[in-house]
Amino acid sequence: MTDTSVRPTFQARIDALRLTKKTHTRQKLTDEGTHDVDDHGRIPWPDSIPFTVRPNHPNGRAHGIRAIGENFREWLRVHPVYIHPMSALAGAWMQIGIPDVGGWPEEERAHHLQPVFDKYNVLFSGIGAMNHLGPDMRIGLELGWGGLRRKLQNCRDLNRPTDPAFYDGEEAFVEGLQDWIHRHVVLARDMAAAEEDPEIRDNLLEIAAMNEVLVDDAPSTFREACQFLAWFQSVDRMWSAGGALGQIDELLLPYYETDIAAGRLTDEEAIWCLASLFFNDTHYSQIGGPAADGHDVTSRVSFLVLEAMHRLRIPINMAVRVHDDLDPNLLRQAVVNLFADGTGCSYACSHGLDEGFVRNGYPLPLARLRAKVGCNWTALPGVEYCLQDVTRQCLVAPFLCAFHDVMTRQRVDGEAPDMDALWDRFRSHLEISVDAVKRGKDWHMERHSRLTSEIVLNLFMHGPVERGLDVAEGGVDIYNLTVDGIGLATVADSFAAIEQRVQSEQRLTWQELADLLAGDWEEAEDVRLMMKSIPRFGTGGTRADYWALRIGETYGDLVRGTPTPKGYRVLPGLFSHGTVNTFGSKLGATPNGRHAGDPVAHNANPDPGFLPGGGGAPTAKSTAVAAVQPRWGNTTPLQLDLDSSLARTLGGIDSVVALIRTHNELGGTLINLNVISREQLLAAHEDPESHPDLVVRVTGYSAYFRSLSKEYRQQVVDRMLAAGA
Amino acid sequence: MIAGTRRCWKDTMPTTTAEGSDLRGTIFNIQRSSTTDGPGVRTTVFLKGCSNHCTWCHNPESIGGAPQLQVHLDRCIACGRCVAVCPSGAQGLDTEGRSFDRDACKACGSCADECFSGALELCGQTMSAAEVLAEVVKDEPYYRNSGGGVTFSGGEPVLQTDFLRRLLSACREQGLHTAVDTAGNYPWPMLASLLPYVDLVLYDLKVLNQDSSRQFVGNDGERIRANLERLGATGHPVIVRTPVVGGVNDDDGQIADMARLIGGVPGLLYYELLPYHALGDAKLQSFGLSGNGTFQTPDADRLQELADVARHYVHDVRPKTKATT
Repeated sequence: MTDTSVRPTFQARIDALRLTKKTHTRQKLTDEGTHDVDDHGRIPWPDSIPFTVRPNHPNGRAHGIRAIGENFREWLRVHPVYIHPMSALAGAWMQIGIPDVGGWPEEERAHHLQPVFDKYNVLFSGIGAMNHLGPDMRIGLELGWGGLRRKLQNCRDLNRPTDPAFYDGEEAFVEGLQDWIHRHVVLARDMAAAEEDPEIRDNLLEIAAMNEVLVDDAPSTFREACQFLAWFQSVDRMWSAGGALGQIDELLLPYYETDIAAGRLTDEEAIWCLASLFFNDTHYSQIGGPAADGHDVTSRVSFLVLEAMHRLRIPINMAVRVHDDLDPNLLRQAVVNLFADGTGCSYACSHGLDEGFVRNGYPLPLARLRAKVGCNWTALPGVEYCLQDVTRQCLVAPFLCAFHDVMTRQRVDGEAPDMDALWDRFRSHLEISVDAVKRGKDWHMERHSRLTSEIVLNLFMHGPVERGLDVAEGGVDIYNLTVDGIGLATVADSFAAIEQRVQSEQRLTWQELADLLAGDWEEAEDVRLMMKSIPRFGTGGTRADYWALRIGETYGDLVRGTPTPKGYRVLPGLFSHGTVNTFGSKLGATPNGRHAGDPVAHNANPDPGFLPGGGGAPTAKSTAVAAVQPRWGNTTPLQLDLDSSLARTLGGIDSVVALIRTHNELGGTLINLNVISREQLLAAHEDPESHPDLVVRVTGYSAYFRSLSKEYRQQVVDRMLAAGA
Repeated sequence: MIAGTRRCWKDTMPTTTAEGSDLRGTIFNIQRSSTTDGPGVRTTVFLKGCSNHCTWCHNPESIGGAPQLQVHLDRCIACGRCVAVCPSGAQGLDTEGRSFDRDACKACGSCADECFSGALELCGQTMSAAEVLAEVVKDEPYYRNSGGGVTFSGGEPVLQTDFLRRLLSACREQGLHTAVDTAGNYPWPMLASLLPYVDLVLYDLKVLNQDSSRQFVGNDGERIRANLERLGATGHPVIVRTPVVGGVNDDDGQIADMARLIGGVPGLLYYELLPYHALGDAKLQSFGLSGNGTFQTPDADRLQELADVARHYVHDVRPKTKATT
């Protein structure tokens, strides 16, 4: 057993990691400015990495898996080595992507689709996107890096491929990684030799010994398993920012139980190892949830994960998987920590996720295994290529096109606009946009593996190594491509506003509305507010709620109703990430009172202040978002920002637990929660440096508030203020 | 200029009207996701009109029973729509700016219907029980999972006895947990007739000292005390709540007197001490009235001290500032 009496406490080590993380984030902000994505574990490095690509293409880049693997090996040979002396683990990564390696050459881009994408504001088509699938980390944990390399060699021998590029590339990559790990062994010993503090020296020597084993062997202890995962997530992040571990409590449970039984691990040390893993990176993971047979997998490790998050208090992307039989203590502890820390886990909901995925024709036991491993998304670990969270289908642009159509018809043909005509045109434009996105998916699938490669994740999937095929070109058996709609409330409220104010009450004509939209409501603030003040989506039982359901259902049917021309199934969700500003900036004014250039609605959430009088009850929001779920296994997250004063009301925490459980029951798929005092948030918005520790869940990911751009901070502030208005 | 004088609650008793066969009451707010008015996630329905006249009231819009116009000039965009529709000439807009004559206002709500900036709001609308229920049942799944339900508050909801009975009965038929938040100043039979439909009574006890009660609540408080004792005799589940108002009832003696009385209530679940807050002042301004005063909000330490005083007589005392996990 580790003797903790002569060492710095594990909490002291965790505190040191937190301080370093803050320093790293501050340095990155100084060097690079704000960033509106996860506050990754990458560390700022003063020197550029001395790497020069060995190209195999006239464009000067390396394409194809062999060239990628060989360049990845060279990259790792020159990549800096890093060990935090207070961490249980070695390793860190410094930047996303290897310069001039992989990617899509300009001539391969889908230029023919771009006019349609431009017209319909499809800013993220998913073409050329990577890494958004879920690995099965058990493959690596059972084999180790040496075992993976031998598996590659064995499968190469069995398959005797005509073109061994796949195996050449993968082997080169693993060789580079093993070399990188070995260099950390040397570094740890060097650091130990120079270290005067005996406890830190011992820790460094332990890191050296552990990694000497892990260069080739599979991990056999809890700490070694965490170290293996840290190596994986470091290289996975380097390679296009991939990021997913999976059901982390289940992955680590066998090691935990073995070590505890052998008396070589304490819970305190396990928490330190987990905190060190979370310091290493913000990879997405899940705790709790159903096994294939439906029983809950919550274990002691699930609680240790929560405790490590609570003690480290840095951005960490962890989800609790909520289902009917989830251990109530785990859910409650997660919410207690949420109130204590202000942010924490997200809550993935099995009712909507599992039942939705089953509708695609999969058995429920398989659906239960689809883990929450991304910002908003789930994937079957190791067996599914899904390319989640990289394709956004703007719903607002088709609406504006439809409005333009009906006004043109009036002008040209004298045909009076009405709601039916507007709807028909909207559906038609949305269909064209969806079809273009689907053709983009085919374009991606035809080219992706040839141009670039899932060189890291291939090793952790069931099939690619066995077949010698990249995961995007037949390496696995299950392909469910996905697309996420954006701006639902903007469109629903716009339909309802026209229906009420123009069609029903006849307060203004269609043409007057068109003129006002063209002029961005200039000198018509009262009319803008009139259009905005209709009963809005989220209230429940309103026309806007009706339109939201109709739009959501139609969008879902268009996406899911037919496969891509090449036959790939596409699963619809409604998720904006944090890109509502980007999408809105390219759109004109909308009839719901939105100004030109303003953000569009977030996810499928009602707009802030949607209730009569300007409030936004969490229950109303939860019910509204649950109702518009496309229900095919992709997510439509509920974003909630609660005032921390709720904690001071009796039963506040139990009420939040009930809210989470009810959203799951209603068919919800994911809840992102913040608990912040509005005073704290406003002060932090005014002066981000005044609250350097404030962590918020921006959408599906969490980040230091101060690391976000002003626009992203404003989003969080607006949501918060509206929720309590 | 915004002109106006405070109206006595007795002049504006709540209206409970029968339109056809449908009994209607006056509601001034329905708040979903409430976690402060009883157990679990709740919807709180605020009925207008009150028989007390607490000078610190944080819901001053609840005191008058009839609809009233609230004016938030800071939200006004001077569009003039209100002027065009006001039948009594109460709204004005000219080169000198915006004006409102509250005495001329009939609170018909025409201007509020046309005010989209939120500067004008009609506080109070008549609703049928079915309309209220339609709103309340929207959150039924959350009540079920949290042990929550619906709370009828005010104002003094018991004053709209028949309408409230209809509401409570309808909620019971839906299987909803029901609570009534009352301040006890009415003839006992009014509450007694409701109790068969009420799962929990939230009883607000503000002061017992008769002089203080006359000064700050507008009556001597004897009926409030007697009704609490009568309620206690029924054995009905009760949570007693006291808003602790600095300068009014925040001394050990008054809290001890109230706790002594409360300790004798057989159905008492717990005694809650709520800190006074000044939110009512801003609302008063929207009615053209000024705040009353100089009340202080007791800090968390003082609430704890008072809770300790109360614990001599009541087993379970909960000062609201303490987070419960």
